Amino acid sequence: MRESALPLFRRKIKWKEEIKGWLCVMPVVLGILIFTAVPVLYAFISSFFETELKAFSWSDWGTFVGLGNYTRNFTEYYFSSQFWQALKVTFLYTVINVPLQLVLGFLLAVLLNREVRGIRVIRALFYLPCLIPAVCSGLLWSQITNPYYGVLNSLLGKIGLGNWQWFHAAKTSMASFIFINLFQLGGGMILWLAQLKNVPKSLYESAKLDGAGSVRQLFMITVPMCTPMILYHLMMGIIGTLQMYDLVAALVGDGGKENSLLFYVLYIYGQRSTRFGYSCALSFILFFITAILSVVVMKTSKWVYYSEEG
Amino acid sequence: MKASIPSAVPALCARPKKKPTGEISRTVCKRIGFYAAALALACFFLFPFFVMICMSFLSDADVVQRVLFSPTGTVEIGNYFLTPGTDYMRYFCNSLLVSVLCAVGIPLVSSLCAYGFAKCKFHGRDVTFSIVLSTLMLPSVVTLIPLYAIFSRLHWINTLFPLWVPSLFGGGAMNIFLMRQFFRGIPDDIVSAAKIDGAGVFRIYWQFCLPLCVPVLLYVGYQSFVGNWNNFAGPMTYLDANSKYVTLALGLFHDYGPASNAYPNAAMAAGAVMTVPCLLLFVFFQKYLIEGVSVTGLKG
Repeated sequence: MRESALPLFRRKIKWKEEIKGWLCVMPVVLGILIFTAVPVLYAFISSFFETELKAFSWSDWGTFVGLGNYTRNFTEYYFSSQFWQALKVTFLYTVINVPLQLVLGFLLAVLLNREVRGIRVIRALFYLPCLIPAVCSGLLWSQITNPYYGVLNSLLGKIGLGNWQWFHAAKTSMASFIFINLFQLGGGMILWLAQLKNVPKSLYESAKLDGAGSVRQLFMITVPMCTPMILYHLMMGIIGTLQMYDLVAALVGDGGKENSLLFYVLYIYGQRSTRFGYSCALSFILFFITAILSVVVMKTSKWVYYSEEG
Repeated sequence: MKASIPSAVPALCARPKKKPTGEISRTVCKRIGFYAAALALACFFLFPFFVMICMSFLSDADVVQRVLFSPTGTVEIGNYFLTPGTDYMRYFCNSLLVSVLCAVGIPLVSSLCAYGFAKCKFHGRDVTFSIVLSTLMLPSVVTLIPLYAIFSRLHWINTLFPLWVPSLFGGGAMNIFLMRQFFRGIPDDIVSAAKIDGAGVFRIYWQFCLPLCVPVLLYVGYQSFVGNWNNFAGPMTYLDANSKYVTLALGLFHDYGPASNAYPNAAMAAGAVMTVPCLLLFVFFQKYLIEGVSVTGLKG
């Protein structure tokens, strides 16, 4: 800050420090240059060309189509029908799943935020389904929910809840997908538990003295104190769900029945080998959507309460 | 261990002693209600696990009968020996190699970068850090697909390099952020005291700061292992189905995924095998997992 006021020899020492500092962060700087900036730039240029997936070459970029890869989402029915379906599916899932996971994960954490015998075991049990890799989870659920020889239908049939089509009908696919994601609640719960531990105990004690019931305490103390975590969950939830890929791929492979589970990234993957330029354009659209949503969430985050020590 | 137990525990345990009888029975009822609810929820959450294990022990004849347990009482452990075979041993080793490289490399690299951002002073530090953080918002698919073309030029397609080399360059923005938060907690006075004693920047990092953040290192290592073990989009993009370097996630997808008509019992056995390492690590690292999460708690 006040370098100019320092004698020259001190500035020389700073110079050394400068190099050392840059050496420390060199891996990530190189990493971002090589594995983020270069591919992003390459994808951006490619998104104006019509080409199939092939090795990078300086001379051959394919046919220049200008903004064609972007505008065909609106003009050509073959692409626009799938594009809008993918957007619809992804948005529907994000709008339902993010708040649902937020609220249920929070309630679960409130339930388990107590010190009783065996609480650690209970928490671990709730977390267990998160340890099943997404691919396994997809395979597992496609077996469980198979309408013909799946276990779930036979169990539900025994208690008279009829025969469901699950992922074998367009109508029930999304609901089924949201249902199987409920088993991942444990992951969010662990984050919530960490946050709940940070709420000062004194707040509850004084509220109790003032005669506030437990529901009132929950809404007047716990929820406001947890707002930073709510913001974090919102951001990560939105960014994550917009990129949903592996679970769906392992579950239904393509877009599901009548493209009812055609998630956006799944659509990009479907296009990448034959229309590389188009898939680059699609991924840039996803990037813009993510950026806009994140900015909107951040800008409207006045409701977040940061305690002094935070 | 002791530090992790909240101080309120002894107070809670001691409380019921002085309570009148009506109050005691109320707390007992509450506690029973809690355990009942927890048990019901645990049954719900364990359902997929339970089904996976049950189905993996069914024989081919039983698995099509919509049952969890064999009606004739046969337990078929053959699925576990049949499915792996030589291919699965190879998938397993590939996955293990990538995951171990990342689990060792990512904590080291990201902690070095984080140390640079937290404790070194140089021009452009904050700008660089915000650029690093902003990459969090970039969907991975934006770089994943063009990287195929670049790796293909480098003849890296159908090798394991694309799966672990990029993660050793920085180790991910989230990890750097997490570690930086931790390093910022170390007082600057101590660092400058070490500097006066003649320790260089890297020596302070290696001998002084790194040992202090072992829990976070373990947490990041655990996350890296699990993340790479479960990674599907990467192998799917960079490896062909018949490649020598197919990882477990990709192998499982090709052999038992939506496109195959293999028996589900074999698929479940393979899935169980894939889940076991994550399960073991979780049991082993449970403490650090929770600790690491509480460090993440959004500060700064």
